[in-house]
Amino acid sequence: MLGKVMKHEWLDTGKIMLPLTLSQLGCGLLGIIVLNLVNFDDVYGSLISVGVFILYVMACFALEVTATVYLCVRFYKSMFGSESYLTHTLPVSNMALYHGKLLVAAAWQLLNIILVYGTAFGMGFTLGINVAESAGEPEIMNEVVQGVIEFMGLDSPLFVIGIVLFVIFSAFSGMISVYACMAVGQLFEKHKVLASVVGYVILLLVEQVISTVSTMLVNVYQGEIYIDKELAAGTYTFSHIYGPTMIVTLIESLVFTLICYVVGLYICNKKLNIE
Amino acid sequence: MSSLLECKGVTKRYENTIALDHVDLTIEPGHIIGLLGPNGSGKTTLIKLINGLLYPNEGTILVKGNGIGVESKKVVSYLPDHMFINGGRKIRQMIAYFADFYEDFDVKRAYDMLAKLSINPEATVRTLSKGNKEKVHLIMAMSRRADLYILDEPIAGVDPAARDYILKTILANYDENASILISTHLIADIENILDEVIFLQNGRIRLHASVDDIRQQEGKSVDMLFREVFRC
Amino acid sequence: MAWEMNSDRPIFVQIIERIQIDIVSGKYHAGDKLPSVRDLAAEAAVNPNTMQKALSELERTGLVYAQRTSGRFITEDTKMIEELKKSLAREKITEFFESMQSLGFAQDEIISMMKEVGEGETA
Repeated sequence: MLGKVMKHEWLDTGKIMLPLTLSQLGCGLLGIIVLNLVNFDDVYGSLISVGVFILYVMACFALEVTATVYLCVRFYKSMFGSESYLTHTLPVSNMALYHGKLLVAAAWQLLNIILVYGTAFGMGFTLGINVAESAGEPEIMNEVVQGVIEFMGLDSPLFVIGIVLFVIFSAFSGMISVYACMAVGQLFEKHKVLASVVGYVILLLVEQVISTVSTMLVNVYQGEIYIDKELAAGTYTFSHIYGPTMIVTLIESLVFTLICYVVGLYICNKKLNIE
Repeated sequence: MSSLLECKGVTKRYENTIALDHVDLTIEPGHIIGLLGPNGSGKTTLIKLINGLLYPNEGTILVKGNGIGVESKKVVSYLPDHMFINGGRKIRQMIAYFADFYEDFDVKRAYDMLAKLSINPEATVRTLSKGNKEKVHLIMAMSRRADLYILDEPIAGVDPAARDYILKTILANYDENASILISTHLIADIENILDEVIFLQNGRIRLHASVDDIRQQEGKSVDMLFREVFRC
Repeated sequence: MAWEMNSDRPIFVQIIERIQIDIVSGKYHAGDKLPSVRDLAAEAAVNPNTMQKALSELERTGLVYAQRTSGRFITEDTKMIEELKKSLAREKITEFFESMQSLGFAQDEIISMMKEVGEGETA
């Protein structure tokens, strides 16, 4: 049953998500092409590249927001709104419905993230090569890339795996928290949507507060013990500075998401009241 | 042998009201039953509970011995009182969708009924007239080979000719192994095809009897009795 | 077309009456096979269980008999059908007299009015 739910969910969301995803890819490719063609012999080159990046970020933002809003509205409509009758009279368990929709939504989000980062790096790389060539030093890019990799801590496989897992996780966690808020909103008899929105805002605030406080604490702890040693040795990297912070953030995120997951699932399973 | 439908002590509360108050109800296969009551009596609430769209505060509902869930939904065919099929889809796509999820969906029957009504399966649901939309909904519900059909107000807001067609279709679908539960206000129109009726008032069952028994004992039609019992 | 039904009398009783009329009027002949319960119910636009009840009652009185695999048949007993025809006629006539009397007619007036109207029709 999960398979069937996912298949139909994929087909239904594809109508909107595929164009959005392709647009994302298109923007990125366009950016790469433009940056390749830009001439750095004069000052306009720099201006244009900055412009391209700004436009790109705006486009990514717009597309991502559209995609997320669409996926959230879709979940609401099919689970609690105008399509809920159809959804809930199907001989499919609520578990299958919840997970089917979550997996498909997360898959689209993940695809989006990969495209965004992929094309962003692609653009940065193209820009770098272009600049280096103009300056007459095409070889310098290799050193730059190597340096960036070391600084970002990407030469540590553990770190890379951590980042990959985190990215996959974030594709899920966004949707899980929204689903939970919508489910909680459903418990109210009146103003269900308002309750969901308010719930989401509160959730974000709480998450931010806890996150900020714990990050500060970790930084203080780190600064005293960790950084000085590395600073002295001159071997500090991105992962050293932010590693512990990221781990703490990750754990918090995990806990929050787990709570949202359990709450959302429980309500969808046992406490459903469709109008 | 478990009954087709068994409700025991079913209660549903909202903030200010009790929609259903300890309802006990048993339905066996082979009947066409009218669920009758004024607005707000709890008919739709009971129907939604049986279909798993609401959860009960108290009591149990069993369909062929199973609680409400995947197994019960496999054997229950529900026609809600409002249009629930996504407007943007083609009829053909809806049929494929239903056939994919419901093992008992009779695709040939669906297309036959559409053809008889001269409705084009390639049409988008949104573009149909209101009458045709209702008929399509009915066809989807009646093309299932279910054990319990639940029709919520199938003939309200429909012209008399369409009404006749709907009643004819319901009768044609009769199977002694299945039952049809029809919730309606328009009692006079469907009284002849019912064999049992249930009167629901303020969330409680006031009466569950055969149509002929009522006519024999009360000397009046169910419609007349309803008007007396539920006089404003 | 659905059979005409009164709303205040049990449906199965009315079905019995209708089938009796169909038999005595010659729509069904002695020994004819009746349609299945489903088909009759669909034609009459009534619940199949109610139709079944009516047919069972007709079986009980002997007007109809069932052969296990072949279905239901009208009785071959033409005398029974004749008796039924007469008794239905008597009922109708009694009803007629009662309603004429409620209009204020006496018995012999009723009979002479009947002759008048009857002759008027054939004239």
